[in-house]
Amino acid sequence: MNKVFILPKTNSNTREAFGKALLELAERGERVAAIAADTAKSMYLNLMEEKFPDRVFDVGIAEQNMMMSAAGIAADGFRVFATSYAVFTSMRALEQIRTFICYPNLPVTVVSGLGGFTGGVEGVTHLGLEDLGLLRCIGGIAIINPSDSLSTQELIKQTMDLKGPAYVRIGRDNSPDIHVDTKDLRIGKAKVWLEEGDDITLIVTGFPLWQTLHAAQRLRAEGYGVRVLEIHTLRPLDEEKILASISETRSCLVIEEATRTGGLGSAICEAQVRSGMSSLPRFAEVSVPDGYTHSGTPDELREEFGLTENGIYEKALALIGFSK
Amino acid sequence: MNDIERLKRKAKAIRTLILETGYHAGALRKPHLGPALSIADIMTVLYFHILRVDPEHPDKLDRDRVVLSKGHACIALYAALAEKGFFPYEELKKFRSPSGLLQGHPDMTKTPGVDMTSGSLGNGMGAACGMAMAAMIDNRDSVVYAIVGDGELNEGIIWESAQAAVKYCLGNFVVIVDINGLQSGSSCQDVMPSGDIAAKWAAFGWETIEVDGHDLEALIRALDRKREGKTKPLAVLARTVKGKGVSFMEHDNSWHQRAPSEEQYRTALAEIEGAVS
Repeated sequence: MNKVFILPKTNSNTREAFGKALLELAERGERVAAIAADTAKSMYLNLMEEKFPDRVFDVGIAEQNMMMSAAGIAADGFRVFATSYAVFTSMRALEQIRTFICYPNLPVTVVSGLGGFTGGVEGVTHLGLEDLGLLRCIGGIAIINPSDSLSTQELIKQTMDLKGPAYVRIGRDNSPDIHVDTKDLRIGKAKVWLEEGDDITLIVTGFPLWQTLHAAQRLRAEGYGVRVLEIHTLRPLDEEKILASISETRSCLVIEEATRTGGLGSAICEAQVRSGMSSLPRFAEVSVPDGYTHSGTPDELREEFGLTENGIYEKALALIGFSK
Repeated sequence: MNDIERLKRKAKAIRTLILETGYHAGALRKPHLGPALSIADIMTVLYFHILRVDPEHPDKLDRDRVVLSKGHACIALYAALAEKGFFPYEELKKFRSPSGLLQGHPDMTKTPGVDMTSGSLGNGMGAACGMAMAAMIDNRDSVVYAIVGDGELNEGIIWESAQAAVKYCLGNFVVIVDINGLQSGSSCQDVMPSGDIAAKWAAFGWETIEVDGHDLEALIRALDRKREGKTKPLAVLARTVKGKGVSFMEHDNSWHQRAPSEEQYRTALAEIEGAVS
C-alpha cells in the first residue's frame, strides 16, 4: 500500500459507467427499475432500456414527479435508480427525497450527474456544489461520491446491498481513470492510497482524487510524510479510519469539489471535535467558498479554486510548514 | 340486507369513528374533521366494496392500493382501516400522540394498511403514479387509487404526474378528486380558482367521470376496479361537501382543523345516528 501507485492513462465517462452498471444489475435478474426527467439518454439509461424497455421511465422535465414515482415503484420492492443532475435532484426534489424516500426508508438510488464543477460551462444554474452538504442534513441516506468510472460502476452496484436509499454524485464528460481494481472499494469504508508518514493526511472525495494523488506523489518525492484517504462515502462516514490517520499526522487537508458548508470538510471537523482528541491537527480545506461562481470549463473553475495538483501541493506545503 | 344498506351502515360507522377520533384528539392535537367527513363516503365504498385488500396480510403484493394524497384527511383513512380490521379501534384514541400507530399524516412504516406516506400536498399523486408503473412492470392487475383535494390541484406536481400517467398508459391508475370547494385558507375560488376541473383532466388525456361524492351507488359505478384493457387513467371528480353529515360543520371552513366541544360532539353523533338512511 505504501509504494507509490501507478495511475492509468485513460479517460472514461462516469455517466456511461452508471448506465453499464444498471444494465448489469438488470441482466443478472435484480428487481431494479430506472426513472429519469428528460435525462434518460443523457444518463445512459438507454443501455438498460434497449433490453428492458418496460423497466425504464422518463417522466419528462419534472424532477419532483420523477422522485415521487421512484418512491411509488420502490414501495413495491424494486430498487429504483432515479437520475437527473445534482442541482435538480438535491434541491428541486429534496423534499421528495427526504419525506417520501428517506423517511419511509425506500430502496431508491438517486444518481446525480453534473456533480461539482463538471457542468461548469452551464453556469451557476447547473452547478451541483451544495448537494453533499444538503444531503448530509437529511437522515438515513447513504451519500456516495465516486472519483472515476470504475468506482462509480462498483459503488452503484453496491447500493443493491443497502436496505434504504442512497445518493450518488457523478460527473458529465470523460474524466481520468484512477482505480485499477475494486477490491478495497466498499460503501462506508475509506480507501487508503498512502498510509505512512506523519506530516500530513490528505482527505479527498470525488474527482479531485486525481489531482490529490499527483500532489501527494510530489510531496512524497520531496521527502514529506504524506497519507491519502479517499472518502467516496460521506455517509456512513468512516470516522474510525479518518480519526486514526489524522491523529498520527500533524496536519490535515481536506479536498472536495463542493461548497464549504456541510460537505466533507465540515463532516471531518465535526467528527474530530466530537471525538475529544486531545490535540487537533492543523486543518485546512481546498473547496469552494459558499456563494456563487460563474461559467467556465471544469478545469478553468478548478484552477480558480485551487483544485489542481499545484493548488493542493502548495496548500499542503504551507500547512506542513506551519505545523513544524 | 342489500349491499347499499350495508354500505350506508358502514358510512355511518366511519363518520362516528371520525368524530370520536377528533373528539379524543381534542384541541391539543388539532384534528382535520371537515376534510375527513368530506371523503367518508368515498372511503366507505373503497374499503367495503371496491378494494382487493386483506387486513391479515396488509403488504400482499397483488393488493390494490390507496394513496391519500390529501393526507390531512387521514382520520377518514384511519377510521376505514380500523373498521376493516387493520388495527384495533383503540388506536384511534391515540391519534397524533407519541404512543400511537396513527401519525399526524399517513405513514406507511408505522400504520398497517397505509400504502404510502403522504400529506405534503401533491406528492401522493406522484407516488401513486409510481405504484401504477410498478404494477405494470409486474403485469399485476392491482389498481391504484389516489385521493386528492381540489385545493391540492394548486400543486404543480399533480399535473406532472397527470402527464406521466397518460404517457405510460396507466389504465390501472384512478385519481379521485374530492371537490368540496374549500381549502385551508378560504374557498378554492378565492385562493386559486381551479376553472373547469373536468376539462383540465380531459385535456391531459384522462378519462373523466363526474359523480356526487356522497352517492354510494354512483361511487360504486365510478370506482369499479375492473380496469383490464384500459389504456387511459381515470379521474373521478367527486362533488362533495366539506364536513358532510354534521349540519353545523357542513360548508363551514372553521372545521377544516378544529376539535368539537363535548356538547358539539354529542350533537354531531346524534345527527349521524339519526341520519335518514
